[in-house]
Amino acid sequence: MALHSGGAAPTDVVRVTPEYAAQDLSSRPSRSSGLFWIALLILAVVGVIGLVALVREGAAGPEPRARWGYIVAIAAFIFSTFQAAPALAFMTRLAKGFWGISLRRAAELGAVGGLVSTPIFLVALRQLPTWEGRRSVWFGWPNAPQFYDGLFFITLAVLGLAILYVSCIPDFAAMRYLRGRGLGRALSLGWTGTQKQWTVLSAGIVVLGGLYLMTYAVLTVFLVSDMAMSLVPGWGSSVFAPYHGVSSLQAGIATTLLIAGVLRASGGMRPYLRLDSFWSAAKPLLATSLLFFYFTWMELMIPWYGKTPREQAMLELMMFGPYMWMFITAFVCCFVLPFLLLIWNPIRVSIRGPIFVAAIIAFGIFIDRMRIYAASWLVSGLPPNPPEMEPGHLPPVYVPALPEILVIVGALAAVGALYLLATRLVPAMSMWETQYGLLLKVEEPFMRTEIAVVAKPR
Amino acid sequence: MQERYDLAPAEVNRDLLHFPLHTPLWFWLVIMVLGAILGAGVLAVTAMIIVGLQPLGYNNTTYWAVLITNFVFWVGISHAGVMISAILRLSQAEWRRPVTRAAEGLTVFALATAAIFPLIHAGRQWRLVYWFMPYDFSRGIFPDVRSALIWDPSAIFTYLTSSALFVYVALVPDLAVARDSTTGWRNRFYSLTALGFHGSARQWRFQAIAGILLSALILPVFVSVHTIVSFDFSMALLPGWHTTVFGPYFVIGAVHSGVSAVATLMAVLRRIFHLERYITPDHFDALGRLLVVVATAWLFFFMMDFYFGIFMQEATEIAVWQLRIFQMPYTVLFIIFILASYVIPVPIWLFRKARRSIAVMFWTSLLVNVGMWLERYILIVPPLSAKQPWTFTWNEVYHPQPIEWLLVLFSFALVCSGILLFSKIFPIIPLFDIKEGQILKRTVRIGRATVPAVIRE
Repeated sequence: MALHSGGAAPTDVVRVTPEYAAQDLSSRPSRSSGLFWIALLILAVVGVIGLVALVREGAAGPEPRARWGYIVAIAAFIFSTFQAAPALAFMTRLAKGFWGISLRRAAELGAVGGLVSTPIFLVALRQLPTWEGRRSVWFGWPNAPQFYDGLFFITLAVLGLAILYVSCIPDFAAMRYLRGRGLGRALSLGWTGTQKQWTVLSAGIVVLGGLYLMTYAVLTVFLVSDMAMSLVPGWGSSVFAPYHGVSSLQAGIATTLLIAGVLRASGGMRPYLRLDSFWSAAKPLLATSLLFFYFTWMELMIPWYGKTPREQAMLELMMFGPYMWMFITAFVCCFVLPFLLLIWNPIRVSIRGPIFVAAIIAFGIFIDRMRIYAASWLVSGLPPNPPEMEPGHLPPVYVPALPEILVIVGALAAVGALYLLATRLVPAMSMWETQYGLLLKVEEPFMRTEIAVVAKPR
Repeated sequence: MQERYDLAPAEVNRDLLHFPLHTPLWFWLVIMVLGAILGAGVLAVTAMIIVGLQPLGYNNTTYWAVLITNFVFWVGISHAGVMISAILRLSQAEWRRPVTRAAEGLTVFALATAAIFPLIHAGRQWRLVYWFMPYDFSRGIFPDVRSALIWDPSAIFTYLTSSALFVYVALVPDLAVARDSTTGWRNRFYSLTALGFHGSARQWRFQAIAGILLSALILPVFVSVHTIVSFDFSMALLPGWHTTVFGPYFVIGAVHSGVSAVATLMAVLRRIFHLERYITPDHFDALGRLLVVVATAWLFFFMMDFYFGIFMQEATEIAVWQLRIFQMPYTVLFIIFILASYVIPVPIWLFRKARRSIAVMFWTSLLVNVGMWLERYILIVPPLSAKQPWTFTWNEVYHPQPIEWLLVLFSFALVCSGILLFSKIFPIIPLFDIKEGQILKRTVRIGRATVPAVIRE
């Protein structure tokens, strides 16, 4: 059953024209089935339960700190998946990737994840231990890192929503024109599609996208250094932030593909989400899977060869000690399986194959983030060079209790609910970019077959 | 691509085979100048084989300097070919077509040049025989396979072999055209090297498959080479070197300098071979956009090295950074390095007009490589020069000696003469790639505008 219903169910057979796309996509936010509302209600209720659990945890204070590891981990997971997705939209625009057109809005809608992850991070920042004996680049700056990190988290969330809004303006105008919707009228800011407006819009999207990407990169560095590495005595790996960033990009692509899969299966987007989008997205997914291996290898190889006590302790904690099975699971799900599956043409050149691999990667990143932050917060209260950090003396794994589990589940549900709500406001497929893409791509006969000709405007 | 010329196959053959089949006077003059520099370099190396490494400015702690900087620099430049050729081929970037051959050639000659410098630097080159014939393990003469210094030659020679193969596979169809356009000894040479290629459907299929397979297979080699070069430093426990980010930082730095070198080379080739209809401002525009992304990624990794150098709050690590940034002569070098590698070129490349100016792209890309050479120097020398707790290791500041500058010049002359001779024998722009591009190009009408288009799979 389609989540969005009404009218004849479109299939691959439908020949999409710019006019058809405008009529079909502009009507989608107002067409929702009962299943959509039931799903939204369930997710919202679970999300509220999670919020209550988070408030309760915050009120209970920082101790024992190990329990905050899982709460930070779920925020980091949302940061690495939903909030990384808009970067994919920006990159495909920058590279003029035709295949990305049908995925961009789904990716940009991931910015709603910032509405969930940011409050969690803000609460978690207050639980950090004092700087005494901990390494950082803040050197005792007042209100660091809480104020600065918090500012960056809020900036990223606002930038993500700003990109989403700006890229939706022409669609709001189209909805105002085609449907006469009040919301479209209010949100389209008087857009009429003049040359100047298009120039400003294009520049705005590029500038906001660039700012988003830079903020994301800086915030990744702050996140891993302040909320993971500085908590572990002796951990100072310079490749870890790039590792976190690359795996986030991988997870962002995977999340976009998963959402696109749901939209195709249940959202009535079958005519727009076709093989070339999934096939093309599978290539960067394979590339980032290889990068996941490369960065993991760097993270492992240099400390293993260096063999200083602090490096051995870090490897013991993060890879070969109590969290070894999480490390192996993440490695298998983020590199081994995606690599082995995506190198095969029948899997890569398909719709279900990349979606299946994307699900594996999303699970792997979930486990990876749990490993990183749970392990870091497990030892966060220890003094510098403690005996507990020596190989074989690490504290046992902290198993999350019910409140932490509720926060984890609630956070994911809240993102889901916000995402569904957002699709009520704007189409999950960019109308203007879809129309633009249809103009750019023509099919023409070539010898005994038909070929696609893609225009490359400046 | 916006500026496209209609080029008939015969016209492409005539234009691109002109230099391999005709020798202008300037060619001999340039070869003579380069030969003189190479001769001086060979004399210098011979002198060092006889008298040892004393002419170099090494001291007790600073024993890796200009020669190793040259090595890392040229390995970096060699990353141009694969980046441009393999990655852009796999991603079906149309603008790659006239750029690939020169980039691949640059890879081979830069890598061969790089491989010479560790040999010069190590001294007593005759001991290399122990690498091939380990006659006595118990005396510890045979190199330790657990050392990163031993992994290096394996990586370099694997990359050199695969790059040469990569160049050759792409050359075969063009060699066949050259064979069919020549007589005499040239015909015999091209007949031998064209391997009987006559353009049957089967041969084209194998050629295409080999190109794609080699593109995919060479990528891991490409990444591993500079990573292993970075291991020479990061595996040591020396403050300033022992850091996990060095692998990707070296790779992206190599791509930055390599792609910049390709931009410089394309500007030169366009001018001297009159290739204006093949290498257009659009190609420089595309290279410029690629360079903005690559340079920014490189800056991020550089910042990671700096950030986590400070983050650990270890006195020895901070001392190295202080030396690199705040103490002469490194302060001046550091400022030039940052300005030349990023601060000056990247803001310029943000403007389309600048990217489409061949003169601007030539000078800015050249500037990048001045900066990137200094980057390697600053990366290598200050950590060795930093004062350690043991006072007996304290030395005067290392200063490169004239012979080291001569060897820098020698390396540039070696690569330039390699590229020049290569382009004298083989077409420096792939004929078949250009012709394929002509077949695939289309236009699409959108409203009143005619937009350039291309056939996609």
